[in-house]
Amino acid sequence: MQIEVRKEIASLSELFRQAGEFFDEKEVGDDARGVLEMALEELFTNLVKYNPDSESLVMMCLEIDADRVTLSFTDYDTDRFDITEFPEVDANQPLSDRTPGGLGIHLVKKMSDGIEYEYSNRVGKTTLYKRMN
Amino acid sequence: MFDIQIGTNGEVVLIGRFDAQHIDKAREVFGTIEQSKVVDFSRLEYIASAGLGILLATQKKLSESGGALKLTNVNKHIRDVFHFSGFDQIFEIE
Repeated sequence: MQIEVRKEIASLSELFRQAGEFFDEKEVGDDARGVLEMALEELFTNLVKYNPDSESLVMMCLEIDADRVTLSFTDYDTDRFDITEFPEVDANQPLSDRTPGGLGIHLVKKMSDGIEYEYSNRVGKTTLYKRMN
Repeated sequence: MFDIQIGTNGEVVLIGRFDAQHIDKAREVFGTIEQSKVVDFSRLEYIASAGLGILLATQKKLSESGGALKLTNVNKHIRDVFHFSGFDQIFEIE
């Protein structure tokens, strides 16, 4: 399944709707579904935040590969934006030292089964894997 | 769909999907909280980092006056999210 959407927060509704239909059809388990929905939102909203000037559409793909779901976002006409190189977040900080923000990619990394990033000719692709059940 | 209601005992009830599209609505409601409050997650299906940011900002604000949010009826997926974000160390979760 693949879909192209405008790079804006309002596109989340359509991405969630299409992903939900895919998860239903493929009988993806609730735990995996929760992680994949969160990953979908975090990956997409980061593209919106950090490459807002591009008018190009963003492509989301969902596939089943053996016992795992593959979720990918392809961003066209973009600078390199590799979330696998983001610094680690210290989730054990006390409340007084914490600031809102930065948790999304941390959660995606911790709760998925792998993330890869490819970049070539100003096209960036982030691919995330999650076991189905 | 996302909604926030006030329960019969004054608790904040989160309903539906707390995603980045609804952050302004949530910020408006949580911005009015000035004292300790229970937040009921029993009708919440989903939360992502945008929602976590609102909870964290509110908890920090309340902590300055000795208050806190208490999170109740949290489902397994959201409990996992709280664990990996360390929220289980800075919130009381029932």
